[in-house]
Amino acid sequence: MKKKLIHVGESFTGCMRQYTGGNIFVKLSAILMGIANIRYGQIVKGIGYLCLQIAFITYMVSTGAASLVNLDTLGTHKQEMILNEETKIFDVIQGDNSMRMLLSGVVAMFVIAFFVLVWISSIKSGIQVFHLSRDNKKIPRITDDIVSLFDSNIHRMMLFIPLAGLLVFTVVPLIYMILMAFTNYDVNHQPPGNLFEWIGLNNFKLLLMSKDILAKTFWPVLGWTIVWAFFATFTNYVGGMLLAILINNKGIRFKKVWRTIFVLTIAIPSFVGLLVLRTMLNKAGSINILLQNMGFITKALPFLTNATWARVSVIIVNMWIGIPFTMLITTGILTNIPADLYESAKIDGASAFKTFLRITFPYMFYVTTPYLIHNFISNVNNFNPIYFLTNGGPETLDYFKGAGKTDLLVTWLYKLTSDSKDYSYAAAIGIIIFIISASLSLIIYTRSGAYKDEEGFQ
Amino acid sequence: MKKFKKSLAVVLTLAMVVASMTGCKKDKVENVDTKDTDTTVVTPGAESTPVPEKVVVQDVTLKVWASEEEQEVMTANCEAFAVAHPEYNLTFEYAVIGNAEACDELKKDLEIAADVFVYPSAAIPELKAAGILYPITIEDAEVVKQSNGAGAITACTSDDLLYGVPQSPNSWFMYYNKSLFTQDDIKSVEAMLAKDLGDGVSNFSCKISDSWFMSAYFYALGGTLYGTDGTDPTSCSWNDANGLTVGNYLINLSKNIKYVEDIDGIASSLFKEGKLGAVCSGTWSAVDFKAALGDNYGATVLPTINVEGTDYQLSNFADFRAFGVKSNTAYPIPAQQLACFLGNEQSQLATYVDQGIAPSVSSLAQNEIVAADLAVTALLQQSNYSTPQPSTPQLSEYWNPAIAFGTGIINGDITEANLQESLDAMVKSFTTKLVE
Amino acid sequence: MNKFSGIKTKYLKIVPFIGLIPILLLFLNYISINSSNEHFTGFDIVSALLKAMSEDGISLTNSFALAIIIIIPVIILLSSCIALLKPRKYIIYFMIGMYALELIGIVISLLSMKGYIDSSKFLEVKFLIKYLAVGFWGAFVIQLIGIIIAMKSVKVSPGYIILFVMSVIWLFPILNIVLNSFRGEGGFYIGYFWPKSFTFDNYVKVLTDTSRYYYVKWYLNTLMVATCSCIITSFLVLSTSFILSRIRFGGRRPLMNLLLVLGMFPGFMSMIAVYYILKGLGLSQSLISLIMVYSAGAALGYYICKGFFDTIPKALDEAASIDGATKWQVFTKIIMPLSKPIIIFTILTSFMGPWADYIFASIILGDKSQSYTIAIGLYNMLSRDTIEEWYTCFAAGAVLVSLPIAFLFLRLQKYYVEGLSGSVKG
Repeated sequence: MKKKLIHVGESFTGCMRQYTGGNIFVKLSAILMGIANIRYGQIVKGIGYLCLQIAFITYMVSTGAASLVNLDTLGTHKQEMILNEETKIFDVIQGDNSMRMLLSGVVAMFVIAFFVLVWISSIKSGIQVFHLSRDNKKIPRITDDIVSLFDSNIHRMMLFIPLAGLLVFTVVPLIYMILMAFTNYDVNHQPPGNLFEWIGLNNFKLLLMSKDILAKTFWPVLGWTIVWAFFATFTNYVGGMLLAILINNKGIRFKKVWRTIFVLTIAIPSFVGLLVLRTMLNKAGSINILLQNMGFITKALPFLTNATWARVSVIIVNMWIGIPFTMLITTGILTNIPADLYESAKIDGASAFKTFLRITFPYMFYVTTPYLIHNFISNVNNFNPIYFLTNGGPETLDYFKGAGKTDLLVTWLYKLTSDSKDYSYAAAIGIIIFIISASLSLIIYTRSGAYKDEEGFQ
Repeated sequence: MKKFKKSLAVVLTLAMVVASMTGCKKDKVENVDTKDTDTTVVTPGAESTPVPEKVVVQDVTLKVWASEEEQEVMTANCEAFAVAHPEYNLTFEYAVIGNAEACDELKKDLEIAADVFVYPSAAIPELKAAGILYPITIEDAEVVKQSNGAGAITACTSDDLLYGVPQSPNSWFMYYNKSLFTQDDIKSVEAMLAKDLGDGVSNFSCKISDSWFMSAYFYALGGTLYGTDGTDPTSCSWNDANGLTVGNYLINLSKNIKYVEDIDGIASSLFKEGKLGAVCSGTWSAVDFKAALGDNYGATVLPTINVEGTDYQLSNFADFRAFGVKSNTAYPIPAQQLACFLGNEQSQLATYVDQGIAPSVSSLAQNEIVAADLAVTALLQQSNYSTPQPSTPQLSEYWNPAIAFGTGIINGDITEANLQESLDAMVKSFTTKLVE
Repeated sequence: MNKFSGIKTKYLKIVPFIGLIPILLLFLNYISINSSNEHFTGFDIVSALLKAMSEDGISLTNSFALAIIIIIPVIILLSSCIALLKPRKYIIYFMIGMYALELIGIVISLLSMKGYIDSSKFLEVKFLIKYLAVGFWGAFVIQLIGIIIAMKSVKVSPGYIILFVMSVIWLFPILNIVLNSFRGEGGFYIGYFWPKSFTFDNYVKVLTDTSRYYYVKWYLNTLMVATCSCIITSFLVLSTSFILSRIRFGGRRPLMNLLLVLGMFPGFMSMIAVYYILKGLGLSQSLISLIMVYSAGAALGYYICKGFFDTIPKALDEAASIDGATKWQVFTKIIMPLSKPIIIFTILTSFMGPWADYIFASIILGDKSQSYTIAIGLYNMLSRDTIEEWYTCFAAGAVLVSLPIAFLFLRLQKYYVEGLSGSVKG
């Protein structure tokens, strides 16, 4: 970490030195982007930089500066309705929309950040072209630049679209959401009639530390989320692996047919399958009816209505959905285990169980560690099974508003967003989920063998 | 240097071109952001009486939301409105958003929302607090107030301002199997439960785990939610002695083997098999129950419950489907007029004939076509026993804890032992706000 | 192993004993009700059945019960003795077949026993499974052991049994949906499993009834969105993974970490922001915006593809560049042809997404019902007002949606199985 900071610092001072060492055009390019490029013959590039600068200035003058100011205040005029005596109707004077202001403020911040990057790159490019001309080297024309995009600079070209898409559709909304956690945008502060404002860390205090019902809900739900993620990942992994081994066994024929049967469950849109299972598990659903008709039970089993039963049911149903998928993945790996390992084990007289324990399982575990971690994290955020099977229920009075005993943090978050419009709490929870997932995965992943690019295993 | 001067000239010209282009683009974006609403619309002459001399025809575009199956009749009604108002040159835009989705769509994006839409009157507190609704104050509103019952108008009014034109009562009553129950049986829950209808047949079904239905039991014994007029966000009497009695009643009801909780549409199937005596539901089930029961189809007002010797009438929430106008509409007066027109007797009758939607206008209750419809008659009669839904925005805190309470009773988690505790917790959740 | 090839005699010797045990167990209690002290041995039941047959004639249920309890076990015992004397494969296959029949019969009898016994008023009280006693369960277990041993003796893996059972469990809900889609009597909730009547009407209705749902139009919408987003996403993922795998540029590691971490935010939190961003770009409520949203997160799924690319030797790249190829040419002419499995896998998974996504689609498309995708349509069919009428059509619609995806999965099975093997090495 320290090394990285030193590195950044050095490159910065290096840049400054080059800048001050440059001639007048280089210095001017700080104010008028692209001047240096034009001077030394890179006309198209220079004009490009200049246009970007003008576009940015226009943006700032027209909406950008206002957006920044609004970001700070989040609106000052509330919507007003005044009765107009003449026309006998109310005149609606539109107020400020805090939500739109927050969003355009975030957009403005990104535009400024983007422009700063472009500005730095224009200066760097000016310095570079200055050095080239001073050393009497060839100055690349625009056509040379374009060609290099396919070769040495291919990463710039190919990463541009995906990263741009990510930026616009993922990063900007993400920052917006993060900022929302520090406001009081909830059900009582809905635009366009109301304004909301910055309240700092209040939401987090309420969530984590208060004696209020919000905190009493948060910690148990978090606990269940972790428990769920662990069991869901574990059961799917082991189950899928065992199934894959079973099918892969030499004695089984029609491997493709067996695999197909299990893969069929992946083909159905998940919410359809889950809704069907939900009707089947109800107090009066097919499974209870079947069990009663068979004489197993006299009263219906509360698969989805008792908290503990519901939690177990959810894990089991998740196995139904997830095992085919893990089976596919582990099958692929199984077929790659070198056969000579098995043969030498057979020669040594190892039983099937021992072979599994000593060869198959360790190999698979090593290879699939990143997958396991990723699966654990995605199960923390696994929305579909919980939401469509139990809707987070059974509901309870102990929890805040709509949270139920099988709710994960994500499903609770969704309910807060779409049902009760408590955006600020939802955002705070989202941030906490993110911090947990991200730190966990970064720590484990960067320490794992796969990341360090180790090959081989013995 | 000459080359440089030439390039500079090119650059400056280009700069001017780019500036003008980006300037225009930013303007357009700005326009979308801060919508300029021309709120003072002056229409020459009165609203609907045609003026013989020069009438200035105004161009008006109105967007209307209705559910998919109501699109046809809504179009017909809007065309009739256009005919009745020659002073407007009307263009209508239609889109499919029904009663249930209207609130969410309005909150999501008010700019592209319809000018006139159908929404549940229960949402008035929250929509009004969010500044989404336009108060309806034109002269036509007086006609609306006269032609609808007091319950409908109270439901659609907040702070003495009318926020919606009632279209249809949106509430519930009771359906029953005529071959299993007589007219006397259906008057009280006790009479229904006492009758022996045979093995495997359930007598009475309701949905206690739904907060919309559960309130009827508390209201029956005079409980108050958010004060006596529904405006006090800190008061709820449901955990007092009466509330405790109701809680115990509900617990016993859920344990009664002749009672079945109506979840997942089980009632319809039970009706088809002749295994259910009566169920509480609304007009949305009419078609289905009529098909399931055939000649034995019956509908009536809610029964009474007998607590400690006295009969109390179950009292449902008085909720209405209403036409609303959005607050940032570009044509406030025509939009309000359209809303009032869509809620008038003629439009309501057309809607009933086409879709079976019960009318709210009082005079139509006597209309022979309407009176022949058992479900609608039951619905309209039940409105005499309904309690107006609370109008405080705090109502949004009511639904979830109530569901949790009702579910707890049905699941057996709430028993007599922890009943008072649960009631207290529930009331606390109703009446507290987290943060200001 | 003896000269009768393919049969393991050490197992074969045990089989007759196993075949004998169920017969012996008939002496034990099959049904015992402790509360009323009624006990019925297997022979009691056999004699009761015979009596019923002589009184009421031979019926399906009578003969079925009789077969399960005594007839088939006797056949098994006889065939096992024959097999011991004359070990031939076909005799043992016959025995396995009989065992299978017996076991399936026991399961079916478990399902229908209560109905049968209650109606025949054989017992004083209503029948419950817990009344079944040692005799019955013992016979069940022994038959199970028997079939396993018989299978082992002909070197047929007993794993088939487990696979069979698991397949039944897995296919059960799917069967439920398919049955519901053909169900003649409509309605949502039914108290039984097998439909009373079968019809194609549900399919016809869902495809042609446009009073509420434009199924066909939505299907085509979804098909278009899925295809376009699949193409775009695949290209983006593959190129991103290629770059991250091959090109060492400044900031590569931080970028990889960043992408990993960005993928962990629950996407729907910022739906409203995405909606307004699209609106600002002038694209709200259009299918194009849906495609953009689905494709935008492409780079986040890089690590599976990257893992695969990492297994392609870098020596190939170097050889190509020595010959003068640009990186772009390396990508298109060398890496891509070698990566068929992972390409197919990427295409498959990105194709599937739009069919099942309800949340994003409904937020972005709002009230523009002509542009809805099939997920919105199916979900709306389950609303309170419509579910009674449309539930069976919902099932039909769901089947129609699953068909192309299932078909693709089956045809391309070998590719993605292979594709994932090289991937998860990280």
